[in-house]
Amino acid sequence: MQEGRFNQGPILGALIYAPIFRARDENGNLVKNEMAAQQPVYGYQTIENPVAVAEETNITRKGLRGTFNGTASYEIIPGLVAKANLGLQTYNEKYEYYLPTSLSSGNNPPYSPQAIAAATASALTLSTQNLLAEFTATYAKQFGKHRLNGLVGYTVQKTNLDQISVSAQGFQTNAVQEITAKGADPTNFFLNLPSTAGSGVPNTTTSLATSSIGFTGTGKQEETLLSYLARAEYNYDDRYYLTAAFRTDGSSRFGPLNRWGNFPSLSAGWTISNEPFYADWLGAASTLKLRGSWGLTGNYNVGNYNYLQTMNSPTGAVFGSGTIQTAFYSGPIKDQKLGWESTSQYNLGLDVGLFNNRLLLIANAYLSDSYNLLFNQPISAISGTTSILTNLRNSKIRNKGIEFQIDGRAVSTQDFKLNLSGNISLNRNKVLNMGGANTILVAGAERSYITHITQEGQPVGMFYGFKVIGMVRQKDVDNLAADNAVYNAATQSFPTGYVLKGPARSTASTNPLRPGDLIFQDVNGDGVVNDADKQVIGSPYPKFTYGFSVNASYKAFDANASFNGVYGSQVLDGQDYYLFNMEGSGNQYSVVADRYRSEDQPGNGQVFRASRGGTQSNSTRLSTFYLQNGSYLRCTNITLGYNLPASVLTKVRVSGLRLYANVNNAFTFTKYKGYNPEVDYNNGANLAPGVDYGKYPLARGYNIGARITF
Amino acid sequence: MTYTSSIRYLFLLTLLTLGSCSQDFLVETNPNAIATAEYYTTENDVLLALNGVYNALRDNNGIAEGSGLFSEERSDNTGRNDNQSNAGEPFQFNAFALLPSNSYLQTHWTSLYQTITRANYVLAGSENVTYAKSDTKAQYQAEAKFIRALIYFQLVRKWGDVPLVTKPLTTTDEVMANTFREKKEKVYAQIVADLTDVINSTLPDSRSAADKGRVSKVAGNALLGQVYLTMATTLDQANRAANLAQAKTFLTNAYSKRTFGLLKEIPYADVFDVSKKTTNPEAIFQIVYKQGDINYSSSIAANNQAQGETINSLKTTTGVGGNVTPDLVKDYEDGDLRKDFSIKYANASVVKDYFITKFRDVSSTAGTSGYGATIGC
Repeated sequence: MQEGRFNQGPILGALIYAPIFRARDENGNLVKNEMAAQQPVYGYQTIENPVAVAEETNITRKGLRGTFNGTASYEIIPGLVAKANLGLQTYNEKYEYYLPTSLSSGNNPPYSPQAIAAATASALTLSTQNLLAEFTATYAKQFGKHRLNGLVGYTVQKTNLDQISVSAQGFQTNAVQEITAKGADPTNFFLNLPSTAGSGVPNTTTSLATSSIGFTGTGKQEETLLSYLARAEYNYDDRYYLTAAFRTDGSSRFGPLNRWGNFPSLSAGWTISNEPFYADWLGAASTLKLRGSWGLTGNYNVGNYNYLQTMNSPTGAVFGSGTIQTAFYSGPIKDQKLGWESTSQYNLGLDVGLFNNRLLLIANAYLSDSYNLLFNQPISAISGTTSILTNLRNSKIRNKGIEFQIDGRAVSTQDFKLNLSGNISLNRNKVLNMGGANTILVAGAERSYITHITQEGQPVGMFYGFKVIGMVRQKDVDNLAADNAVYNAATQSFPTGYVLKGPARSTASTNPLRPGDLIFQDVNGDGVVNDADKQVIGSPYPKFTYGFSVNASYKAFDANASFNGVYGSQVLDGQDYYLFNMEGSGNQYSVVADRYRSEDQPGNGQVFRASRGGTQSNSTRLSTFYLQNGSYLRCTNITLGYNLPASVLTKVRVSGLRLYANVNNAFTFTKYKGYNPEVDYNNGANLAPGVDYGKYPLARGYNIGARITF
Repeated sequence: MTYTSSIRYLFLLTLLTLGSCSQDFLVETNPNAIATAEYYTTENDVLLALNGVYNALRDNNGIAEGSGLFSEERSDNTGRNDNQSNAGEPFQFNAFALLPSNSYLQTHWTSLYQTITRANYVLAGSENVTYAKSDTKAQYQAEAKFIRALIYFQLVRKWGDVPLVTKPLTTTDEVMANTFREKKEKVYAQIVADLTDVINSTLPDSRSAADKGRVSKVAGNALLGQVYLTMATTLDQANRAANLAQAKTFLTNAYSKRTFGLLKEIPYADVFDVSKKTTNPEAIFQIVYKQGDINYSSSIAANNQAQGETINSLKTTTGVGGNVTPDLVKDYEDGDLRKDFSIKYANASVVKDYFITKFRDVSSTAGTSGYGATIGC
C-alpha cells in the first residue's frame, strides 16, 4: 500500500472520501468512480473508492537474506588470543507494483482511455552484499585483585548495492499484471532513474518504487569502511572500574581531505556497596553503583559519493520535427571537505538495588554536544543548486536529558508473582550555534508551504507560522472599515504612526477579513500580517516520554501489559489541508459542523467560516490552528498465557507447552484527530518532524499461539 | 623455527599487510556517473552538454510552457482565482501580493540560474577539447551564450540587479564570493556582449527544418534588438536615443533575413499550427516538443483546456483551465481575428469563464493523454 496524497494511497483517501458514497453495492461488489464522477458538477476531490484502491492495486515485496560467517581464533601466548572473523551478508529483494485499468484516473472512470493510460507495472530487483572482516587480538591478565583486559584490532567492511527498477505501461487488460504485458510503443517501457530536480523533463520516468533499504531508481553503489580500534579495561577488586578506548574510522562516503575520524572514550565505575565501609548502608543485600563516562562518537549517516561532483544521468532535448537528442549536464557542486560529524557526550549514572534486589532503581543523566553537523546547507542558487551537503563547522547542537527506571518485584510468592516497572525520560534539544548557516526554513507537508524553522536558541525543526489570537466578529467590522480607509493597498501598509482599530489583515490573500476569519498575531505591530509576523508556533518534541508495564502470574496463568506514552508534543496534521477546507469537496472533521456561521451561530469560536474561495485562514497560511496536541498513552501489548502443568506434560511427552493470546497496539488515549499521533511523514528528516500526511495507521494485531518444547 | 611459532608470525604478518592497504580501499566513485571535471574530452561531449543547456529551457519552472505564472499571470491577461486548491502561493503572482517565502518564486529563480550554470559549464568545458573544424567551437559557444543572455534578460527584467556569474563555481567559497547583486547596467552589458558574439559567429542565419530549436543568427539579432529596446526604456534615459538606434539596427537585421514577404501573408492560426511548427517562417526561436511522447511532449494545450471542452486537446480535462481575465476579453476590438482563435467561453458549471485556446493539439498522436506538440517560446 502506498502512502501520501489520496491519488497515491488509500489512507488519506479514506479520510476524505465522502461517507455518502458506497464502498460496495448490495451484491458486495466494489463501487467505483462514484465520488470522482461527480467532480464536474460539485467540485469534489477526484478520489477513487479507497477500498477499491487498496484491494486492486497490487504491491508485493519479497526479500531473501543470507548470513555466512567464519571465525578462527588462536592463543598465541597464554592470555593473548588472536581472532579473525569473516562475514558475508547478502540481501536480495523483488518489489512489484501494479496499478490496474480498473480504477478511476482522476474523474475518468475505470477502463476509460485515461485509466488505461495510467495503468502501470513497476518491477524492482535489488541485490546487496556486505563483506566484513574483523581481526582482533585480546589479552586478559589477573594479578591479585587487579584485572586487566586489552583489545586491539581492525575491521574492514565493503558493501555493494545493485538495483534495477523498470516500469511498463500500455496495459489493455489486467489479465497479466507483469511488466511483460506492456503495450507495443517503445515509450511504454522505461527505466526508473533516481529523481533529479530540474531535469527539464516531466517526472513520468521517476517511479515511486523504492527498495526497503531506501534507494530509489536504478544504479550501483559501493562503499567501504575501515576501522582501527583499541580498548583497555581495568578493574580493582570489583570496586573500581576504568575503561579507555580509542578508534579511528575511515569511510568512503567522505572526501579525500576528511575521510578519517578519531573517537576516544573514557569511562569509570565505582561499586560503593563493595567497599568495606558501606556496611549495608541501604539495607541488607543492597547494591549501589556510580557510573560516569565521556566519549566522542562519529556519524557518517549520509549517502555515497557526496564529495564528488558528477554529471547527471543523460536526459534529452528535442530538435527539428521531434528528434530527441541525448543531453548531458553537470550535477550539483559537492563539498570535497565533507567529513565526520561528531558528538561529545557525558554520562552520569546511579544504579541502586534494594531489598535483596527486589527493587532496582536506575538513574541516568547526559549532556551531549554535536559538532561539524552533516547538513544540506542552503546555498545561493547561482551555484546551480539550492543546497550542498556539508559539515557545519563551528556548529553545535546540544541534547541534555535525564532518565529514570524503576523495576520492582512487588509480590513474589509461590503461586502469585507481580512485577511492576516504569520509566520516564526527558530530553531537551537546542541549537547553540548554526556554524554560520542561515536560519533554515523547511516545507514539511504538501503544497510546499513553509512549516518548520531551525534557528539558534531553539530546538531543531520547530513549527513555524502565524499565531491565531482570535476570530473576527461582527463587532470588528466597523473598525476594519476605518482601517481600510487609510490602508495603502499598493504598498500593503498603513501610514507611519497609525494606530490600528481592528484586527490586522494578512497580505497573502486579497479577500478581505470578514466575520468568522481567524486573526493572526501581528508580531511587529505594523498593521499587516506577512512573513515578518511568522514565529515559532509549536514544538514537535514531547516534554517527556514514559512507559510502564505490569507482569503478573498466578500458578500456571500469566498476564502482562505494556504501555508507553509521550506528553507535550504537537503534531502538524497536513491532512487538514483537506479535512478542514470547508469547501464541500470531500469529507471533513466532525468539528467543522461547529464552525462560525453567523453571529447567531458562532460555533465553538475556533473553527473559521466555510468558504469555497480562499480566505485569510487557509492552511497554506500555516497557523496554530493546524497544530494539534500530540500527547498520547498507548497500550502497546497485552498478553495472556497458560503453561500446562508438568503432570499433564509428562503424559504427552513434551517438556513444555504454553498457550497464549496477545494483542498489539490494543488502545491509545489521545486527543489527536488523525490516526496516529506518533507520526512522521518525512520519515526521519530531522528538520521537519511531527507531520502527518496520509501515513499508514498503526496496525492492531491479534495473535493466538502455542509454544511446545520437546 | 617451530611450526607453532611460524603460524604465530604468519598471523601477525597477515594483520599488518591487511592494515596497510587502506588508502585506495577507501576511494569509491559513483559507477553510474562520470566526474564533472573529467567529462569534457571530445567535441561530441561539448555538443551533448550543449544539448543539456537546451534541455534546461524545457523546465516548466524556468521559461518553458509553465512559465505563464511568472509572466502572463503577472499581467492582467490571465490569472487564477484564489480558490482553495490554489490558495496561497501561485495566486500571489497575479494579486501582486508576493511574499518573500513564495516557493514558486524561489523555484523560478533557481531554474533560471540552473540554466545559466549549465551554459557556463559548456563555455568553460568547450575550451578543453580539440575540434575537427575550427568553426565548431565558436558555434557551440555562440549557442550557449545566446541561452545565457536569454536567461539573464529574464532575470534583469524581473529582479533588476542580480548576481552575474559567467563561469562555473565549483566551491562554496566561490559561490559566496559571487553572491551579490550586480548593477543591472552591468548585467545588460554582459547580455549585449554575449549576443554580439552570437551575431558575429558563423551560426546559420536560420536553422534547417531538422535543426529547429537550435539558436540561429536571426534569433541573436532579434533578441539583441529586444534587449536594446528594453534598455532604452528602463536604463539611463541619456542613452535612450542610442539604444533605440541599436535596437532598430538589429531588429532590421533580423527582419531583413526573413524568408517570407509580409507578416500578413502568414495566417494567425498557422503560428500555432503544430503541423507547421518546423516550416513556419515566422518562428524565430522555439522549444520543440515531441507529439505523443510521454516525456518530451507539450501539455500546455491540455492544461489550458477548461472542463467540458474539446477544442485544445482530446484529453478530458477538469477545472477552469488557463483562465483569461475579463480585462483581456474586453481588450479585443470588434472583428479582431485573434479573439476567436485565442480564447473561448467554457459553459461547464464549475467554469463559466474564458480559457486560453491558442495552443492546440487535437491530433490522435497527442491523444487522450494530451501529449501535444505545441510550440513554446
